[in-house]
Formats: sequence, structure tokens, C-alpha cells
Amino acid sequence: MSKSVLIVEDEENIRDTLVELFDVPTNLTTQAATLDEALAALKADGFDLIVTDLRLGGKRDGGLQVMAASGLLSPDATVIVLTAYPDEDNRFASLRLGATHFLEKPVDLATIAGLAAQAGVQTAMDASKT
Amino acid sequence: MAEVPFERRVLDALPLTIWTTDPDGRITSTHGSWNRFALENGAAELARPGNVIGQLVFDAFADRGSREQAERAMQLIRSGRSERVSWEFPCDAPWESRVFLMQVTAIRAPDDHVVRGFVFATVDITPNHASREVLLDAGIALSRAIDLERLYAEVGLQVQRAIRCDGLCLALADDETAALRVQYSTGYQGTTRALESRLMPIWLDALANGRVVVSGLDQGLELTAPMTTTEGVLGVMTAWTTNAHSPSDLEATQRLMASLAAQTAAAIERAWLVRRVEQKRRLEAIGEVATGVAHELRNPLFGISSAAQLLQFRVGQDAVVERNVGRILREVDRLNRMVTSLLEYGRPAALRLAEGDPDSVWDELLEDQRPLLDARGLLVHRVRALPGAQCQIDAEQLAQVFLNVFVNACDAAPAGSTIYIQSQVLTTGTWRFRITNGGVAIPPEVLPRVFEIFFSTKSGGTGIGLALCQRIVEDHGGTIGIESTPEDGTTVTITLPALL
Repeated sequence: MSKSVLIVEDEENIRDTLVELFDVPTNLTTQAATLDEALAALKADGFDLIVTDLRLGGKRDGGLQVMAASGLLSPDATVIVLTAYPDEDNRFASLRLGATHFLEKPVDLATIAGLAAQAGVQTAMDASKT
Repeated sequence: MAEVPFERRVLDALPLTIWTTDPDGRITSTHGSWNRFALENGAAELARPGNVIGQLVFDAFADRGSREQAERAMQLIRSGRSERVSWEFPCDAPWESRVFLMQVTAIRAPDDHVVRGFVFATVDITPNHASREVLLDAGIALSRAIDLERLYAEVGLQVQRAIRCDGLCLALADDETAALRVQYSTGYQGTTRALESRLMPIWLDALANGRVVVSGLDQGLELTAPMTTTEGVLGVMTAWTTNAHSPSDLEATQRLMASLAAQTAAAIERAWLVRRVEQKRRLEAIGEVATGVAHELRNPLFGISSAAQLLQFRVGQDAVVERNVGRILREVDRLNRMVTSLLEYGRPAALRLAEGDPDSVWDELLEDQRPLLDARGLLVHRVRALPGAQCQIDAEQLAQVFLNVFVNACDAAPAGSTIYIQSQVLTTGTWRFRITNGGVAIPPEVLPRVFEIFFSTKSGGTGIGLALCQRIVEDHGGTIGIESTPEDGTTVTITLPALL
């Protein structure tokens, strides 16, 4: 059974890397570079796993809006928040909006892969091991 | 005025001059002191009372300003707008500048209150006036001088003006040891050390008794005034003068010295405060920039490490890739540590103070760091304060400071050498800690900069560690300093306020 994954990240290099991490035959991966793209994707499909940045472009709370929308549109999704600006307010707000994990950049890809595996989502790291 | 003999006698004995005049200002009488006064002030022709009686009072004044002032005063009183008019006027005798206070009052008829004449009374207020002016000027000058060097020079100038001294020195009490050290001297020959040892007993006398001490020299006199503030003893000020002083002059000079010392103490304290505030502002500004940069670095760091990790997994078992990805990740790790300490520096955690003994923080640290010591074959020789100190400390943040200086000491110490750790509680209510290691001394040009942020001579050093240490120690109200010589090695001294 395939899993649907949404990657929301405004920085191209990082977004590409994350997309590559989830690039395995069992996943359907969608990527969004802006809040608007992310909201459009959430409206179009349900997701099993959402990996989102907290700041999107100029929007400090872009990630929080993504979380609010996913809480309504993909209520069962595992939501991993990545941020270079970890502070208690953001952590608290994220967890209240349904984020499952709040991770500080830079974080090991292996950590993200591990959390994805818990949600039943495979990654390139699992694939290369097998 | 001359009707009552006793009053007249008293009047004659007073050290002031009194004239009475008719309504037009013609002098009708003078009292006995006038004669002496006129002689002393170089106006022998006016000395005999008969020589001034009948003259217009205006002619007795040497300067035009006073003549006009006298006329105005009489008009004011005549018109009823004022009952008494007084003003100060300079009257230079041939050998010195003097200042007088003139007071004019009305003589009124008892029945109809019509002005029948005037009383002109003059008193010499030279010393008070001069010192008030000097103090005023000194106050203004000192309030402008915020830079310490300029402040000292300004004090020198003002004291010179006030006392006409030949030499001046300012000694301030060392924060830590309370020993008095000369910070500024002018006009004195010989070494600072010699001056200190000669003057020390006088300084201590002045401080112990809280007064200006006058001591004799082969040539002239020395006046030493204590400089104290609400915080306690700041230091002392000694002026040396070869100008002979009469006993009354000396008394006035002593008062002047005491006031100047008080003003100087306040100015020095203010300069220190300003310096601290500026330093703090600078650090806060640096902290803000550091925080912003640090956060922005985390995104590219994540990008680099993620790409490297993906590469590692994709390629699989390739020794060359493995080794080089390892290098990339280690460097990322290092950068990330730098970012983390930058963030700590830029946004310091508030202190969570609790009463504690800083030496017990060391106990724990030394226990934890045993492997580091063993690895380098280092020995620790420790002497600790007994009984232990009671300080208000944030044990966690202090541990970070101690670890930093400890690791630095271990890194610099030659393998197999001994690191000396010593703490004591000083009588000034200070816990003082010293850690000394041997090895190559820190170059003198580097030494003053070691606590500067981003200053590092270690390869791979960020220049944040010691800057952060300084911030934490200063947040505790303490100090951190470093000394380094080839003979004595390198010593870091940390002090914290302790309860006595």
C-alpha cells in the first residue's frame, strides 16, 4: 500500500534532499515551496506524513498554518516540524496544532527516517539498507 | 548709631566695614574697623574717619560697577521695592584677588518711616566665594569628563586651580585586595612604588579617620583627602603644595580638598558605571547579531548534512565516500556547536540563583573530568576555602564557566604537569578562585583580548567560550581575569561576591 507524503520547505536544496529521502516506490511524494502551494496540496489530497518547515519565505507562522490546515484536512497524518528557530512558544503552538514531532535544524536524516518508519512510511535510507 | 557705647564697641570690633550715609549718599559716619580695613587694603588716605565723612559713598568705590550698583540699591530702597539689597563685588588688593559682599539697608524715621539715610556694610568673603566658585567649576568640569584618563587630568587641573599645588596623586583601592594603587600622579618625582610606600601610612590615616590629613614635607605640605562613596572606600587624593598657608587658609584649603575629593569620587564612580553600561550595550548588540546569524546558519547546515547523509546511504560501502562524508559531517557538527554557543551567548539564559558553595561545583566537575586528567597524565593540586563560601550562584551556568577554564588549563598544561587550583574567602566578602597551569605563556599582546568575543588563537576555536564565561561571571556580580608570564604560568582568577 502506498503512502502519501507532503514536503513543505521554502529552501530548494533542503526540499530536494527531503524529497529524495522519501523517494521510494512505495511513496507518493508531493512538494510545496510556499504556504499557498502547501494549502493547495492539502486541499487536493489526504496525507499520511507531512514534513514542514516552520518559517516559509517571509511568513514566520507559515508552518503553523500548514499544521492548522492539515489538522482539518489530514487529521491522521504524522506531522514533523523542522525549524532553525526553535523556541518554546513555537514548540507549544506546533504541538497544540497537532504536530507529532518538533525538530531542531540541523537534524540527522536518520532521525527523520526513524520517525517516518514509526508512521509506516519508508525512506531511501531503509531501501539502501535492504 | 553711636548713641549706645556698648553696641558701638561691638560694632567697632567686627571684621567688617560700616558706613552710614544721608539720603543722598554722603557718608555720615564709619565704625572703628574702617580705619584698619582701609590701611590693610592700601587706601591709607581714606583711613582716618575724618577723611571720608562728608564724601559721597560712590566715590569710595574703586570700580564703576559698584558705584552704579550702590545707586540702584538706594533707588530700590527709596521706592520701597526692597528693604535690603546685597551684592558681591571683586576688589583686588595689590597682592591677591578678593571678593566682598556689600549690603545696603535703610535708616527710617521711627514715626513716618521716611528714609533718612542708608547703612552700607561690607564683609570680605574671599575664601568662601573663591572655593565655591572653584567647586562649581570643578563640578562642571568633572561632570563632563567621562573618560577616566581625561577625568584624572581634569581633577589635576581643578585641584591645581584651587590649591596651587605642586604635585597631585590619586590612588584607588583595588577591588579585590583593597590595596591602594596610584592611578594618576603629576608633579611628583620618583617611582610610583616609592610614592605608594611613602604615602601609605598617611592614606590609611585619612581613610581611617575620614578626614583631610595635613602632613609636612621638607618643602611645603601635603594634604590627603579620603575618597569614599556610598559603596565604600574608593581611594585617596594627595596634593603637595609649597605655598605657605596661614592657619585660616589651611583650614579653608582642607575643606576645599574634602569637597574636591568627594566630587572626584563621584565622577570616577560615574565613569566606571558608564564604562560598564557601554560594555554591556556593546555585548548586547553583538549578541543580537550573533543570534540572527546563528539561526540563519542552521538552514544551510541542515542542507549540507542532509545531502552528505543521503550520499553516504546511496553509495553504500565505498571507503572514499565514507571517509569524506565523515569529514563533511564532522565539520557540520563543529559549525553547529559554534552556532549553539553563539545562541547561548546571544540569548543568555536568566540566572537561577540559589545559595551555594562554588567549590562544590568544582568538586563535581573535577570528579567528572578525571578521564581528561588521566589521559594527559595531569595532576591537580587543590587548596580550597575553609570554611566554604556562601554565594548566590546558578550552579549550572557556573559549571559551564569552570569547565571552560578547566579545559583551557588542561589543554595548555604540558603532559604530566600539575594544575594548581586554589580558592579562598577574602575579608572583603569575596570568594576568589585561581587556576594556574604551566606551559607556554600567552603573549602579552594577546592577553588583554582573550575575553573578547570571536577572538581566538586556538585552531578551530570560536572565540565564544571565554566571552560567554565573562558574561556569566559578571551576571553573578563577579569578575574574571587572566595573567600569564613565562615564569609563573597562566592563571585565571574568578571572584564572586560571598556572604561573610
